Amino acid sequence: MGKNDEMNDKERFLNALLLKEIDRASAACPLQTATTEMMDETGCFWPDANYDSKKMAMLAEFAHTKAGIESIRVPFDLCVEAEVLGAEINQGRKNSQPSVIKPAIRREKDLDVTFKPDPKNDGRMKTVCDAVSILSEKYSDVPIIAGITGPFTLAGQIRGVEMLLMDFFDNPDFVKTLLNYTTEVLIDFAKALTESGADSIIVIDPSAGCELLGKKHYESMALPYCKKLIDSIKVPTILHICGDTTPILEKMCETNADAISLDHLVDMKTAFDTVGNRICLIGNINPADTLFLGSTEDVKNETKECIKAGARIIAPGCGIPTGTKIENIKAWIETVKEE
Amino acid sequence: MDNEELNEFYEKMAQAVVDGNEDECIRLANLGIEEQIDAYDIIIKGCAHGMTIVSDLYEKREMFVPEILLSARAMSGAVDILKPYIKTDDIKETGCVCIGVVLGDIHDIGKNLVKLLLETAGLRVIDLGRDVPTEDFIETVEKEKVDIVALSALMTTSMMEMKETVKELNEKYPNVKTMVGGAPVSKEFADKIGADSYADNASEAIRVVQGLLG
Ligand code: B12
Ligand SMILES: [Zn+2]
Repeated sequence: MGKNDEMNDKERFLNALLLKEIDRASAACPLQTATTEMMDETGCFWPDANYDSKKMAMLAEFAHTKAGIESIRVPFDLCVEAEVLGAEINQGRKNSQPSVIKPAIRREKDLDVTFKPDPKNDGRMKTVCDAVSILSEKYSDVPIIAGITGPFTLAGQIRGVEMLLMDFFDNPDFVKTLLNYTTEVLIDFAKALTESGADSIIVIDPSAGCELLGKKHYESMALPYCKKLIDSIKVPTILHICGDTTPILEKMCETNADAISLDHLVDMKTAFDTVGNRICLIGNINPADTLFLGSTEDVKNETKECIKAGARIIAPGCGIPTGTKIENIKAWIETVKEE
Repeated sequence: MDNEELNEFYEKMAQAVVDGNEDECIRLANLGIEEQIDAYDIIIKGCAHGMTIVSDLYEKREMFVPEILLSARAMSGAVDILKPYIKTDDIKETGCVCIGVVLGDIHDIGKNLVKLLLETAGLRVIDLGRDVPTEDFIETVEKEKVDIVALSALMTTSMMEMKETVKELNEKYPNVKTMVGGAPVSKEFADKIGADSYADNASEAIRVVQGLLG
């Protein structure tokens, strides 16, 4: 705790999410936190740390113990669910996250809606649940955040985004079946994560972004499923969509998320004026230009701007780039504590 | 058909592309051939023009990716029918271009347009597809008589790959010309990474290629 703090990191974070009183803004990070410097110091490297719950927990907690981030967040990538559902994954390297290389559902009949993974036993869903258990047992006053994929993005990963988008026109019923399926799978995963001790869940739905879908498709193809998922989650929930989401901010609130995490492309002040009175806003330091490539002075200035514009949790606009210096992360955290 | 009717025909084709109406695109393509309208003109003034309108509507946030993909498919429907009827400079191919989207990038709609127009301009085009590693470009240059390597990138991340590929090509094959393009790529970027040329869109790409071939 900082010297003037009246709350611990967990109280502050949860109060911030629920729009309750806070002693100052929170410097929790609901998106990816690992950097290569942290990997070097812990000896827990990607891709191993994505597949081993102990290493995952160690690398994740280092962002808190060493860099000072006021939360602990797992996993580090966005392919956990797609992998369990049979998509072919490239494991990535020390400085690159795993990525989907081949979707699982080439033909419609490849979709088996009766296959429901058991998150506490299957693949990397289990790895993440176990990491959450380890962390939640160890830390009672630091929020443990677990990330999951959004229903639309997961559908795109297992079907192929282009295929999914063409299905809109060629076979809309199949799209609905697929989205209902990914929603069910994610409901189970989120439940297992909260049972393992996660204090908050962040749903990340990059493919539902405005540049790709626009507002109309977002409303019909992403929002209802995301809402159903979020309604099922028993802990405070955050929604993150990459890109400029200004046109859909109000729609994002309709998912019943407690908070929305904004990409750096969104103007925080505009967002605050639009929805700031009813939802907690998180963000939105530019992850690449400022946090990774900028000076500590740049980081400080942008952090102050985010606080001034009304964000209650000050964090990067997307995951932390792996090349980011711990020094820059500290500049962000220290500035939040001072303000 | 007189001029006015012709323009009306191209307009209809462009509109069918914008609407993503594949059936109508195919119908019009067949009609155009029956009426002996020049296939190249139908593609440029109808199909490609339609795709330009689509891009503009996207920039204005009036159209989104699902519709763009539908338009691209409708356009391909027409192009597949028209292609065999294109009168190329049948004397000989004027040059050979090897084209591809760089590693890590799967955006190939723009690349396909560039490829199409280069073919219609009478060039031999070797298409390596999308998400193409540097080695594949090198291998093709080694095996085939390539005059120009054309690289496409649509993401800021894949622009870094473009830089690598251009560098390797310049080192290993200084005589082979490079041309780069794609929405985030600019003339300045092209100069900075040592590419020989840049074009902003597909029809400009033809002029640039003809310039490079001298
Ligand atoms: C369609 C699209 C897709 C489709 C691609 C389908 C396909 N088969 O191509 C799908 C849905 C699959 C897709 C996926 C993704 N996309 Co996308 N996509 C687009 C979008 C909306 C349009 C691109 C397009 O086709 N334009 C129409 C064509 C005709 O134009 P064009 O490509 O610019 O080509 C013209 C010129 O540039 C030029 N040209 C092009 N190539 C060349 C080459 C040469 C040699 C020359 C001379 C000229 C030239 O001539 C062409 C014709 O005039 C752009 C937005 C944008 N503004 O570009 C985003 C965009 C490129 N995508 C983006 C992203 C982030 C993604 C994803 C990562 C999203 C995700 N989270 O899942 C994925 C993964 C992609 C990957 N790994 O490659 C971002 C990239 C951001 C960045 N980092 O720079 C963009 C800019 C959207 C955004 N603002 O966020 N996408
Ligand atoms: Zn993001």
